Amino acid sequence: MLILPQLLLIMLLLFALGSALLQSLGYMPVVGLKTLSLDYYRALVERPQVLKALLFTLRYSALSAILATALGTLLALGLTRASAAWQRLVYLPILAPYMVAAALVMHLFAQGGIFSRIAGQLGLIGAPAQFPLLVYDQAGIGMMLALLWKQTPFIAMFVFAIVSRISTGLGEAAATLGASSLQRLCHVTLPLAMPTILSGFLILFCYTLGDYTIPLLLGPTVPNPLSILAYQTYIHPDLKMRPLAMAINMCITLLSLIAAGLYAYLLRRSEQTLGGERDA
Amino acid sequence: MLAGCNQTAQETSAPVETKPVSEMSFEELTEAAKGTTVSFYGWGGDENLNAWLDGFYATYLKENYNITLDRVPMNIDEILSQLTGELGAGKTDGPIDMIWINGENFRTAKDNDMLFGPFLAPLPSYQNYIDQNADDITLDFGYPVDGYEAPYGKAQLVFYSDLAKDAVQPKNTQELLGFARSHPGMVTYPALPDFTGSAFVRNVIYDIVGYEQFMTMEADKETVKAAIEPALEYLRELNPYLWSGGKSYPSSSTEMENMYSNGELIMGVTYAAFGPTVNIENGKFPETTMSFQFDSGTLSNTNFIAIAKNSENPAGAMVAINAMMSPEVQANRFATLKTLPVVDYTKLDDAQKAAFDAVEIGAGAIPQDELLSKAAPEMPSNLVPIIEEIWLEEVAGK
Repeated sequence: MLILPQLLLIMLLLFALGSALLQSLGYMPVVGLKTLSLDYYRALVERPQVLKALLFTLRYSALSAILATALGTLLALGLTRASAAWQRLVYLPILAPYMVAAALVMHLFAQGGIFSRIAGQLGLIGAPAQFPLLVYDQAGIGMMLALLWKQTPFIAMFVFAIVSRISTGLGEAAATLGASSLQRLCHVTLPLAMPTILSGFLILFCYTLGDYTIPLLLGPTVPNPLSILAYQTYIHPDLKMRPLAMAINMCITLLSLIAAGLYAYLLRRSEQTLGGERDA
Repeated sequence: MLAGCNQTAQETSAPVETKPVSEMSFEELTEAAKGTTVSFYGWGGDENLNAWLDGFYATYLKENYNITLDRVPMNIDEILSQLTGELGAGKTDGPIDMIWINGENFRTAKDNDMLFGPFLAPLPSYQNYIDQNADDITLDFGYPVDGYEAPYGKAQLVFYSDLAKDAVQPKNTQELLGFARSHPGMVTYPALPDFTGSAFVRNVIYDIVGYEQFMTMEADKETVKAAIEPALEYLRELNPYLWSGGKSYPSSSTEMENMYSNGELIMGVTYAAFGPTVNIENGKFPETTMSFQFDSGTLSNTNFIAIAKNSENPAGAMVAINAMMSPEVQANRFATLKTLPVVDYTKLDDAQKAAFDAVEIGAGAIPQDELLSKAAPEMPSNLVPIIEEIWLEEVAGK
């Protein structure tokens, strides 16, 4: 019974993806483009702006996902000893929209923000412009702060479920055999939880690659995050630029698909490992 | 359900559509428009304008023509995108009637046969009150209007600064450089392709290399780049003194205005000539804000209303557009929103003139005659995206 709505969703997705693919190949009859070619992909490679955008996007997506995964895993380990109330408090940012995270970072870290004002009151800086540029900066620090605030608790929740199961099951078994808590962590808990941790990382990485909100609100003008570049190309008044925007979108989709494939692979492996544990 | 609704709509409008709308007289149009709803798609970021459209203008249409206005706030790129989709799918009774449009977007829409028209000839307001020979009526960013859009309002670029922080205002680009140097980090402009940011850069170009050469320039990237090179050089020289050292720019004019409001910036730029006054009145800008222009002039343009090719109600749209161009509505808009009117003052009778004369602009504004005496025409619209592209490559972050 559930297959029908699923099928409908998949059909919609495939239809959208298909028409984006067609447009990226230069097929847009409404504006008189009717021949298929790889010209627009070639144009992408030839534009230095696109390569810069791609590298920048990969960098901040990977960096923020790595940091969030590391911090989130540490947090999950800490939570195994915390009360339920603490857990709920830690998970709170998961409920907040990304826009709220962006607003938070802007109010705190912008040159006209709270920290800048405090520094001004303390006489550390003379004018707002002297406060270090942490938002709209070319390293993407502001974006990453907002992403970390949202994503660290997500990883914590994601990893906590499995970590708590391991430490009460195999973890206790290892303890009875005389393993210290550090040994249990390094030789039992982390290796078993690793596929889950990695798939958490991939979920974040994929999301951030295509995210538009955070780059729009906190990103720098140059280098341009990929999603912003795609949108700017899409809204270009010359409709014949549309295929170029779609080609950028197809690149984002391809990167996400690769990551999703990895995710599926890891998921299968972790099921096998944990299946073994459950049997024991 | 939906099919039923469509049917009744067709039944009620069927008798009057025996004659094509393009051949109707204005009386026949008003008759056909009676009791209908007209949608007006356009940028919805100006709360004051939204309130005026929903209030005065909607009431005016209802009382005079029994037309209901349905204002749909949407960015122009999304409107054109939706229209492209509808036309591509062969939809003939589209929900979009009136569209607020100008410049590059008008050129694209007209070139791709997305607009209804020409529709200006039967409209009495156009015949009686609009100067049909003026360049800013017949041309839209250098592109012939040909009756496919009706003038809606005029805009002119002005700068504004806080006199409490610096009593001197720059009169040209060289003085602006000195101004930015003495207030490092407190001057900036919105990142292109933002509309206002793009206009700022064009104004800088005009001040440095003049505007005449662009009116006939070929839309070729290398040609344009060679012509604006001195201005690019200037903008790069300006960068280190800008907010964030010219590494980043606010992503929209709204963001720049907010930064000015909370004191991060000392000056700003807007395409709404009396915008600073409105912002002083509503308490957003400090009372010491004063508008200024370059001596060589600032950009001016007219913005227009067009009708979608597949509009369900072109007759209603034409009647509503005629009302928008009437002296009564233009005078009310001028008084409420301080938008420069499109009617030709010399064509008005004394009572109509008095309505415009009675408007007090308010604090922080450049007097209207001085403002208009320093107006420079907009560049041909096909050069605009080229300049935006060059700016991203050659100026931003350099």
